[in-house]
Amino acid sequence: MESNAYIDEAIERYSDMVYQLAFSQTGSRYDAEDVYQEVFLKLVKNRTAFVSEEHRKAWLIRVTLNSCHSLWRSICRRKAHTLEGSGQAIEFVLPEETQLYAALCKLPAKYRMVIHLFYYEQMSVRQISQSLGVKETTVRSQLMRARNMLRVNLQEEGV
Amino acid sequence: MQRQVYEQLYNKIKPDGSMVEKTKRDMLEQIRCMPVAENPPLRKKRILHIAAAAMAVLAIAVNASPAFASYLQRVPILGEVVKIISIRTYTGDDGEEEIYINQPGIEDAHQPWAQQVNQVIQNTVDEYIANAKHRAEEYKKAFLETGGTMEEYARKNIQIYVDYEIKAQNEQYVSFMLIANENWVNAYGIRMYFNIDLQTGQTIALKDILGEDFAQICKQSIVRQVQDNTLPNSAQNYFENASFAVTQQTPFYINEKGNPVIVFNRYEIAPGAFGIQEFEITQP
Repeated sequence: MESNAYIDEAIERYSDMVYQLAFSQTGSRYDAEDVYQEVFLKLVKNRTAFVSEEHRKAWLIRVTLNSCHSLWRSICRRKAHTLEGSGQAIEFVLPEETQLYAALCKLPAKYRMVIHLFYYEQMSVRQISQSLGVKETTVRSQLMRARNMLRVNLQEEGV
Repeated sequence: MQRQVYEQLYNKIKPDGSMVEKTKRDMLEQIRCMPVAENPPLRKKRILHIAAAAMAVLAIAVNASPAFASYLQRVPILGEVVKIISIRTYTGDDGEEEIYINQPGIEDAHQPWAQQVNQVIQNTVDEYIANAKHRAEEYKKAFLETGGTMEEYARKNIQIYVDYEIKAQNEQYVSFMLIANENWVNAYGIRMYFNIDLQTGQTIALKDILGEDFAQICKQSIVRQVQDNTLPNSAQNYFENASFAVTQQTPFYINEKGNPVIVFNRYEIAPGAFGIQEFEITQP
């Protein structure tokens, strides 16, 4: 297949990040795929001249999150137990994973967002605040509240 | 929190391979609708030598706007002819990327303003090359880390260009463009315009050429030209809400007729397929 250095490089670098972030927001592989394709097409159509790699990464995160919200789908609408029934189930290996996932489902989308960027993408509070365009104090308090809620949810899951 | 559990969970959540391939194909299709990154010409633009100063002044006075002609006549002509030449050329392959530099500069720069111009160009070029090499390095790292081989990387033939184009040059002013580009990614190229009054070393502003009303004059001219260019039933047209506002910061060069040419970057006022848009502003 004919390839293009720019496309290959962008996908290599950010394919997982975009998909995983989309999944963390939508809870569905189908929706995550929709978002994924929309985001990467937007990337090549994009007019912004990126001043740095961090800038490009922040742009991708922002566009991914906007795209998730415009899908009008939210994991909160699905109950935890329907995950087993859907054909898109994640293969949970350990019980902790099921429990954590169920607990995450109960968090509001924006808390799941900061949790994902902070713990999984290992971004700093400063980087998260720049990507999302919110104050660092806001990010910090969201992280704190998210952790607290998660702890409560996990207790309810019997952890 | 159990970060490890979170990680284990999300490490399993990967995009499907064939979906990724389809996305790449769609992206390629999208890019095909846009022109490829312009590789700047490597040939040196010939420098125009104007033999008689009188002829030059006459030529400008005939073609330029009255405001510009009177601006030029305010400044007496000195004897020296200031030339823009290539002051640094480098073609190299340091094993990583091929680098082509054809860097402009003011020849025999004695006066402080000339040295300053050369310094600005030097800094711009150095910074661009450093950033471009860094970008290539990052790309190579990612490429190799994800299973690519050095042979495959070498075949990509990464190239970094610096070149220039003289738009107009005579004894009174020079207008030239510095271009920098890399052949594997579009987003970082630069085009920098220099419009210099060679008597004073001052940068020529649109206000100097068109007068205080320059913004209005430019906008009217551009809107008229856009209307002439717009095809009624074409799918591709200038953006409906495009702003044709021209300010002191708007990039422009001066052509040989002495007219300013306003430059809009790709995507600013029209789809990418239109490319970079230029509008010559003739006298109102």
